[in-house]
Amino acid sequence: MVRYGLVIDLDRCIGCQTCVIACKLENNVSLGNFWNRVLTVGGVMIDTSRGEYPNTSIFYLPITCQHCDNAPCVKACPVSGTYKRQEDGTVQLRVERCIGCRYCMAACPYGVRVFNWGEPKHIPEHPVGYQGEVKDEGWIIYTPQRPRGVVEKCTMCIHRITAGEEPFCVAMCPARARFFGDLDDPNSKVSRLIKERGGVRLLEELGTQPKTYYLPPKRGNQAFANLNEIVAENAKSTLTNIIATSKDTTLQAIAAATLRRVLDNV
Amino acid sequence: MSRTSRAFIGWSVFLLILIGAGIYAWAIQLQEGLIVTGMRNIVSWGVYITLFAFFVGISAGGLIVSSSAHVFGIEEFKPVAKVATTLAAACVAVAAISIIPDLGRPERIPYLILYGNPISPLIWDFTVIMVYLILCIVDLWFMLRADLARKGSKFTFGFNDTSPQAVARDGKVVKAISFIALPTAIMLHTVTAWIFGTQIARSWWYTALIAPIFLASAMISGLALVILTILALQWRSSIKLPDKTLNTLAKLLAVIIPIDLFLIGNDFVIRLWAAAPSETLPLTLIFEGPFFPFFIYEWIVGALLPFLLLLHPKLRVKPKVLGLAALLVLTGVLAYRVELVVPAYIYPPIVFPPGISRGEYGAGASSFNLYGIYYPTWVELTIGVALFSIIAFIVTVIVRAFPIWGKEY
Repeated sequence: MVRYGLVIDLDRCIGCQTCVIACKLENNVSLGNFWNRVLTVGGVMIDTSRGEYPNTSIFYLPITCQHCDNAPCVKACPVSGTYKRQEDGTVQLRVERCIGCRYCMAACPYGVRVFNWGEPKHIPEHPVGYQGEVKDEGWIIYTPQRPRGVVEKCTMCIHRITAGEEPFCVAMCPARARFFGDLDDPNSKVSRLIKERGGVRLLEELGTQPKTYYLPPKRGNQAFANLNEIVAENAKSTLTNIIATSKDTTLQAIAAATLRRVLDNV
Repeated sequence: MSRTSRAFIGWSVFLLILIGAGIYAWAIQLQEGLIVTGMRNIVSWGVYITLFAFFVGISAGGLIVSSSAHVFGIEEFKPVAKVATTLAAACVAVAAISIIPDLGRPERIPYLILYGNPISPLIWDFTVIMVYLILCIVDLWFMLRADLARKGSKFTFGFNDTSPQAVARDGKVVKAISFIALPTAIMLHTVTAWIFGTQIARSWWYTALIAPIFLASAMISGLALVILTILALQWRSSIKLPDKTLNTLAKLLAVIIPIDLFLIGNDFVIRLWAAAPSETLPLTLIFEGPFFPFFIYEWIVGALLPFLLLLHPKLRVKPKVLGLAALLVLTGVLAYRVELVVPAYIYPPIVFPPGISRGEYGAGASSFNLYGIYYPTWVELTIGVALFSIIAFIVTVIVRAFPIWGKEY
């Protein structure tokens, strides 16, 4: 049995948003909805940093369905529309079963579920990306013809992974920051990266057991590490600021790990 | 045509117009989709779920009053048992209805039975709502059967025996139902609270105190509704209840108000002391943010003021004062429900730019919001008013058609 997961190297992610667009194109995601997003951990706007020159810090946080092993959405769904697929551990959604109650959106801590509030709009109007339907035990779990009034989310490109390919976001990443593989195989690239680089998961304290791992960034803050002690102090305060103000304890942990590296290098 | 009839027709037409407006709004929503509401991907529940929680709450009074009359032998409540049970049935039925406009795919409601997920609190709630509704209707029927038989009504479904033995048997059944109904009523509010309380993603809901808070707020709003309805019926008819009944209801209401505030206050203290952003951010919305007016209304106007009015033994016997106090409590609990649902969504657990996509496209405008923004639209508010009107209409018709409020109370 495989247990597919995603590893994202925050040192390699350059925030180019290619995976965001790749996802929209491959999965024909309607206007106004995104299955995959790249967040900026820095200032209050995208692509802005925290702190004042030269003591700034920034890294990017790509976020999509975390395919949790203990998924709150799966437990919440009243009609088992959303479920964990036994074959590969991915969290899928039976498009034709969803009653549109949006309890899963209340349940998801990662905000990765989107809803077709109105008739899904597309420019161009014809569907793009994968044109086929994917069925699992008789139920459609992917279709480019998106119905209104139904929740949807990342399928981990179920049509690609069942054909032995990587999810499109992984294949398209120009910085090669995304890795896809079997978490149960200790020799897979993803398992090795998690082990060697200390992969962490988002909001780990909630116990959702996501299958998306993040490799903490160091390059973005190396500038601080190579400067003198005063700069390191400022870097410390910037990172301490993240640790103090971020509501996400995993990001706090990432900041703390970066902080330790900064201090080690001084 | 008597004056009462004219008033009944006028009131019914008024309610039907409001219900019709709600159906029109819902038709528009069915045609355009939920895009006509103020809800989007960040704040994905709004008026409908707020009202659902409120309606489940106000159905409490009914069965708790009528059941405790039998379970605890509170004689003063027996005269109002029928009115209270009617209210319970109407409110819980409309609570179930209020979910329908919230659904993106209302035609798939049968899936709740076909594919019900036994671990989903929504399914637990669906089950307990159905059980509660059936209990209310059966309870009411047994309370009314003998009277209906004497009038020759066909709603006895052929059970026309009016002998003392048959009436005594009805009484026994009602008493037996009470013993099931009271724990069911408690479960109804507990399970409804669990819909919210189980969600670890929403720190604002994720507290074990939520079920006790739901119970207390349900009891005060339910009692307030029973009091208001009795006062309205007394005003429209010549029948007067013994003073003791209303006085006991008023005293019970006065006792539970501080319990409700105690529980909510407890929750606040624990969150404030922890001082973790996930705990205090929703509180800032309540204490200084857009929900501050609701907070003040809930605590001062909807709780403290009616509590003081009810505390005074001479004031609480005056129908106008009692009615005002009940109305304030009822609207105060509605304010609490507003504070419960939407603030949980304003700050998502992960807040980094650009935020979460709204699910709405406008050329040249960002599709993202960092924080949740929610203003109900006229469609949601019209449907909301219609839901209130359905409760009023059901109660009006039942009281009119059946011997709920007669010489024998």
